Amino acid sequence: MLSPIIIGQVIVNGLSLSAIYVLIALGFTLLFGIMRVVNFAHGAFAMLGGYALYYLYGKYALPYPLAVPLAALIVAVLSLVLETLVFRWFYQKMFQSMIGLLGLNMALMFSSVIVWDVYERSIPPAFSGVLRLGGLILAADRLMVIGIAIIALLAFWLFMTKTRYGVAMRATADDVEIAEAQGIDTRTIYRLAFLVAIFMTALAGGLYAQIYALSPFMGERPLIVAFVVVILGGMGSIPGAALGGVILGFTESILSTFYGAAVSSFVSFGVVIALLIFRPWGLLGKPE
Amino acid sequence: MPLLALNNLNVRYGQIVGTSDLSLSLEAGEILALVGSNGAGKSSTLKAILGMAPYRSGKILWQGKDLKGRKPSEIVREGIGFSPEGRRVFASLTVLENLNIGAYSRDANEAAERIEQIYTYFPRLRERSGQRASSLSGGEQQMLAIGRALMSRPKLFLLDEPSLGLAPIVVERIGDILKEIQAREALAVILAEQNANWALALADRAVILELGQKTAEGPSADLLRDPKVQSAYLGI
Repeated sequence: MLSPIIIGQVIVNGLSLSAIYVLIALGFTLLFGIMRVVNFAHGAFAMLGGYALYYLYGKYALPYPLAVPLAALIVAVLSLVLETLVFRWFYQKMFQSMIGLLGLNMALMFSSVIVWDVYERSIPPAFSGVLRLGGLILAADRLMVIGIAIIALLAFWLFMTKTRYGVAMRATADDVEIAEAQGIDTRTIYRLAFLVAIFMTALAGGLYAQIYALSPFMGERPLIVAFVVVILGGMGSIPGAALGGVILGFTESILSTFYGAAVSSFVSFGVVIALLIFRPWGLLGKPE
Repeated sequence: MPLLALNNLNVRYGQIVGTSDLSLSLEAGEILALVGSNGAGKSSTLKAILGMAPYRSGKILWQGKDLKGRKPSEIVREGIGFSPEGRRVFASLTVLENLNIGAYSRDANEAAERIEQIYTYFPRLRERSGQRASSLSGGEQQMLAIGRALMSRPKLFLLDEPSLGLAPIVVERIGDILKEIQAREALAVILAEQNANWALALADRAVILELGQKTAEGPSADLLRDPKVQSAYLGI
């Protein structure tokens, strides 16, 4: 059963799933950690990322390395309108944000049905070949996903640790009142955090839609993934989102290869429920 | 014109009184102590100056300019630095990152130079520069909170309860450094403090607050000799 082909497949699938999950969960945890909003509309932004990539790459045939970041950027920038109209009213209001953003999720989903209809589309793969590495056979498009995610995560890490806006964002996450009292315009930092969070989510959504399928309802799974990963890692914790994403990605990859997708879902959610009982603040979160 | 003037300031949190009809003024380079027990309105006064507490009526004039309605981040840019009660350093940031945040409203070249100066005042912070603020002791965190507030080269420094929870020897040390900084930079300071002995020893002038109202005011030396102040705040 453990042939090199299967091992290679488990690793590459695990890594590419992890990569997408980490990106989705990072966006979710940023919005929660800094603005205290629980983004129930998270999956809808992933879905919009999928449609943006569908148009830029699938329809207008922009070069793939350009289309991927550009699609995410367009979604993120246009979403700033929603930040002004909807999100900012729910900052630091966790419970209200859940209801409000659940509504926004519906609005975005069904607006998409009106615009794009309900049927599934597909985004053509960027590469169709396989890479042979010793005895391993690796799917090239999955490797591409891993590469893009690694670049995005590296850029995110550099931004958060090396730039003054990134450090200000972390300070704001620690203590928003004092950040403002030290001269940080926290309103601007909130908008920036929102932009970064939606960018990563839309980026992940594009990759996700390309691997699976694109439809107005595709956001459901990314939303659940965001919840599971972030609860696993700890709400608002950035390292937690990374750890949670990798754990979920590999668990799913291994279990669904050997035991099927149903078992994989059962175990993933079982672990999360157990965790919520014994360590409700997650692996790397802080008890409140 | 005074550097800062509060005229009949009324801070309210819903029904709760922060300050009532509080007036005071401060000259450049002066240290003013706000002395009073918990809930006397010391923090409310500082927060109102910085735009962090709502006031129903009254005026806060900074070099003659009304600060009403300005955001804290804008008021900091005017030249006011703030070290909050309980220190509230950014726990997950390093010491160096905390200091850099203090200079957020200034340009980066200035900040590098200023950090050197802060490290000269507080050599302990240089040793801990790469460590997370959460790993510092209480005294070190207080030094960091002061250093962070001074990064923006303020003209006025609002310092809230720096002695809280610190060992007497650490409090003395912080007082000495404050004196040194204040003399060197001609900084005006408002020091809100429960430890009246220590605050009056540091300050030129003091205001005694009770339930948001001013009950005494004068040069520190006079207040130190005032029998009422002695029995209520100095434990004599």
